Amino acid sequence: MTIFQIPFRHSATGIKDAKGSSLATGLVWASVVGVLAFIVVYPIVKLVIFSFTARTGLTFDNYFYAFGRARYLQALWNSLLYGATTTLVATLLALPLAWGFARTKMPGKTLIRAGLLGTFVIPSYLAAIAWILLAGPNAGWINRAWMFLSGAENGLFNVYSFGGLVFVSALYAIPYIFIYVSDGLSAVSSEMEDAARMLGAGAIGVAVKITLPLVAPAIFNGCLIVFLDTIALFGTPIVLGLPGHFNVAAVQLLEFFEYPVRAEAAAAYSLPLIAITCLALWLQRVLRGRRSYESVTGRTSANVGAASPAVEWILFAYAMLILALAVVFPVACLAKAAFSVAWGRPLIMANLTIANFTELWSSGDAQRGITNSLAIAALAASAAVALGICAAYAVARRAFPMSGVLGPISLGTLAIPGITLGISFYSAFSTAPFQLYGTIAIIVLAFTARFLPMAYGSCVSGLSAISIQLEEAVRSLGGSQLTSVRHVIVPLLRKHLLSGWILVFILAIRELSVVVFLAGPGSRTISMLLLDYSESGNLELAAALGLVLLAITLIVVVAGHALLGRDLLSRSQ
Amino acid sequence: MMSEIPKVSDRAVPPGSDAIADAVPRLALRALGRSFGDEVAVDDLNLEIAKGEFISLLGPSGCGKTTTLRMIAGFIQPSAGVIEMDRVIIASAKRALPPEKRGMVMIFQSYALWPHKTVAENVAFGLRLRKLDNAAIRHRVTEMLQAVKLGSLAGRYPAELSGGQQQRVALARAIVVEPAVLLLDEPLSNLDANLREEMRVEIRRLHNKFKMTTILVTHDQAEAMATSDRIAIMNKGKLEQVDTPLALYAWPKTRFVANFIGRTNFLEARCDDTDVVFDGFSIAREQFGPRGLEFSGHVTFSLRPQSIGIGRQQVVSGTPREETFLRMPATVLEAAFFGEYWEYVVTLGAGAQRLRVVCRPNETFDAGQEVLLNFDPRQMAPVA
Repeated sequence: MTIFQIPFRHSATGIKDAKGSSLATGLVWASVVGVLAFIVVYPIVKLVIFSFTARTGLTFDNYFYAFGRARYLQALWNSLLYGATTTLVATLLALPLAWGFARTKMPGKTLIRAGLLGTFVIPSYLAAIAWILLAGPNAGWINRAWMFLSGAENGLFNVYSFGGLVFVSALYAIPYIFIYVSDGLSAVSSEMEDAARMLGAGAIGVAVKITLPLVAPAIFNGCLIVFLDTIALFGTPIVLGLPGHFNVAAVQLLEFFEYPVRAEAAAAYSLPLIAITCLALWLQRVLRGRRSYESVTGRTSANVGAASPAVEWILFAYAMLILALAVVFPVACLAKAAFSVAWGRPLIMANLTIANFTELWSSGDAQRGITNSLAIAALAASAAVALGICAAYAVARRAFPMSGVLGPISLGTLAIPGITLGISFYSAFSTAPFQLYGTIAIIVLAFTARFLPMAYGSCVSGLSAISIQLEEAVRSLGGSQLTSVRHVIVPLLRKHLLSGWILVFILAIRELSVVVFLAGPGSRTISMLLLDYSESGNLELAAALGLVLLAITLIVVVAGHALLGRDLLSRSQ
Repeated sequence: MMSEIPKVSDRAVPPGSDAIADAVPRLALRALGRSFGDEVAVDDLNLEIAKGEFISLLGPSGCGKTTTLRMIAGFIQPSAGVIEMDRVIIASAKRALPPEKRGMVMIFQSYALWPHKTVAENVAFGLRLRKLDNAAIRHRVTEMLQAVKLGSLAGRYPAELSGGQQQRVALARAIVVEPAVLLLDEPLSNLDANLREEMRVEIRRLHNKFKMTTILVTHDQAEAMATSDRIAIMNKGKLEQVDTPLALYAWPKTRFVANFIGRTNFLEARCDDTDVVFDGFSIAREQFGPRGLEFSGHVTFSLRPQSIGIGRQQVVSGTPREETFLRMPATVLEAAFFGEYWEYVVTLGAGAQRLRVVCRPNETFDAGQEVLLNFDPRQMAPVA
C-alpha cells in the first residue's frame, strides 16, 4: 500500500501542486510578518537604542539632558495637567448629552449624532485656529460682541490661556466620551433599574447605586482615550498654548529639533509618554478584570423616556449650544475669514474676496501640500487596510505557528503617541541604511504604522462575524485557502475594508503630530501648512486652506456614507 | 488547479457496476484516534464504509462523532491511526492530505452558504473550481436545482430563502460536484420539527438518486434511522456498535445502545442449568430460542416497551399472538396517556421488577388493575 498517493481520480501532480500553493501562502505570510516587523517593531526598538546613543557610543547623557532642566520637567507636568483637566471638562460636558441621547426622547437625535460626527471630523488644530477668530483677546468675534453689548473695555475670553486651551480641546474630545457613555447607557437593561426600584430605591438612588456603577467602565474608557489623546496633542497647544507661554511635552519635543538638533534627547524625552500610555492601558485592563460587566448587555432594552418634556427641551438646547460652539461658529468663522480681505473686519462687500483661494491655487507650496496630503492619506489607508486584513486573518485563522503575535503587534502603535511615533520613525529611517527623511515614503510608512490598529480592528470585527464554516465549505469543495480568501473573505469584508480605508484616510489627511518630525521641504502636508500660516499670522489663508481640508474630508465621508450607510465609522472602530 | 480536484464524470457511475471495486471499502478508519491535550475525543475507532453506502455516526454531544467527521474531511488531523480512501492512506498522525484534495464535500450545520453569492452561484462554485466550461456549468446547476426542487429560486440570495430551502441549496452545492464521499454535519438541527422530517426524507431520496457514499453525523436517532443503511453508535470517543437501524433496535449489544436507540426495560437475570431466573419469575432457556443455551452467569436483558402486550386477566384474551409468547400476571402501577399511545408501568408477579409497556390508545387500564402481560423471550436482547 502506498502512502500519500493521490486518492481517487486525483492526478499524480496533486501533492506537488499542494506544495506549490503552500509556498505561495508561505510567501504572503512571510512578507506580512516582515513588513510589520519593519514598520512597527523596528522603529520602536530603534527609538530606545537611539535614546542611549551618542557620537561616542552608548550613554545616559540624553536622559540627563532631557530631564535635567526645570523647563523640560515643567512641560511634562503641564502635559499631565492639561490632559487631566481636559478629560474632566470633556466628561462634564459630554455626560448630559450622552444621558439625554440614550435615556430620553429628546428631539433632534439625528442632528446631534451628525453634529458630533462633524466635531470628530474637524482637526483640533484647525478648530484652534477657528477659536482664535472667535475668542482671541479683543479681536475675537465673541469678545467684540461682548464689548459691544456691555460696553466693557476688555473681552470676555482670552483663548490664549490655560482655560482657553482646555476648553477648546475638551470641546473636540466630547465625541469620544459621548460614544462610549451613550452606548454604555443604552446597554443597561431597564430591568436592572426596575429591580432596584421594586426593592425600594428612589430615582436618584437607582442612578447613583445601579446605573452609574454599571456605566462607570464606559466612562472610564472614554476618559482614558481622551486623556491619552490630549497629552499627545500637538497642534492645539502650539496654536493656543505657546502665545500664552504654556509649554507642553509635545511642543517641547519639537523644540529639541530646532538648532542645535538634539534628536537623541527628544527620543529619551518621548519615552515617558509611552510609559504613561502603557500604564493607562494596563490600569484599564486591571479594572476591567476585577469585575465582569458582561451582564450589562441585557436582553431587554434600556429605559427611554426617563425625563419630562421640559428636561428634554433643556437637553436639546444644551446639545445645540455644544454643536454651535464646536461646529457652527468655528466653521462659520473660518468660512468668513476665508472669503475676507481681513478677518477682523465686518462682512461687507469691500471686505469680500476670493483672493485667498486664488493665492492657494497659485502657490506652489499649497498645491504641493494638498497633493502630498491626498497621496499620503490614500497610500497609507491602502497599506494599513491591506496589512490589517492580512494580520487579522492570520490571527483569526491561526494561519501559521505563532501567528497570534501579529495581533499585539498590529495594535502596538495604539500605545505610542503620534509625536513619539514621529520621533521613532525619525530615528529609524533618517540614518543609513534607510535615508528616507524628508520623503513622502517615510510619512506613508509612519502613517501606516500609526493607523494600522484602526484598520486591523475594523477587519477583526468583520472577520469575527464570518463563520469559519463558510471557508471550510470552500476547502471542502476543492478550493485552497487563498481561493477562500479571494472568493469569500474579501467580498464579505468589502464594507469593513472600505470603512477602515475611509477612517484611516480621514485620520491621515489631518494628521499633524507625526508629520512635523518627518516632513522635508518637498513633503509638507496641508496640516503643516495650516500651522505655518497661522504662526505667521496669515489667518485668512489658513482659513481658506482649512476649508479645503474640511471639504476633502466631507467629500470622503459623504461618499463613504453613500456606499456604506450606517456601517461607516461604527462603534467598533 | 484541474489536477488537484477530482473530475466530474459525465454521468455518475452507479455503484455495483464494478464488482471488484465494490469489495474495496471507499473509506476505512483504522485504529483512528484524536486527543486534544489530555482529553481523548476519539479512541481506537475502526470502521469500513462501502461505496454508495449511507452511514450515520450517532451519539450524544461530546461523543466524538463530529471530531471523527472532521478528521475524515481533513479539517482535523488524527493523533493516532489512519484514514484510508480506496486503500490509500489519506491521513495519519504524521501527514494529512488537505481537505480540498480529498474529493469529499461537507455540508455544515450552518449550511455555510456564501451570503454574497446567489443560489446558482453557490451551486456553481465547486464546478468553477473544476474548470468546467460555462455552458456545462449552467446545464448542471439547472439540473441540480431542479433535482432539489429549487429551480425557480436560482437568482435569489441565501438570506432570502427559508431554512429548508437553504438546506436544499447546501445539498445541491455538495452533490453537484459528485463527491467521492458526502459528509453531513448535523444538517437538520437548525430546522423545526416538520421541516426536519421532510428534509430527512429528501436526503434519503437524493441518496437513492445519486448513490453517493454518505456519512451523516447526528444526535437525533430518528434522523439516523430514517436515512441510513447502517448506523455507528458512538459514546465517549468509542464505537459502541455498528449495525442496520433494525438490528440496532432489535439487538442492541450494549446497555448504552439499547437506551440510546428508543427506550427500553433492563431485566437482570441469573442463569442456572435449565432456567434464566429473573426477579420474581423465571423463563426456561429453550424459550429464548437456540441462543438461550449460550447464556451463563449474570445476564442483563433489554426488552422494548413496544414488545410487550397487555391483556385483561379476567378475560383470557384468546391465544397469544404467537406460540413462543409467554403470559405473565402483572399489576399496573402507573398509567400515563400521551395522545398517540399509553405508557404503563407494571410490576411482574411478586417481584420488584418494573417494566414499561407501551399500548395503543384503546388499550385502557387503570392503576392497580391486575393484568396479563404477554411477550416473546426471543425478543429479549442480552446486553453488555
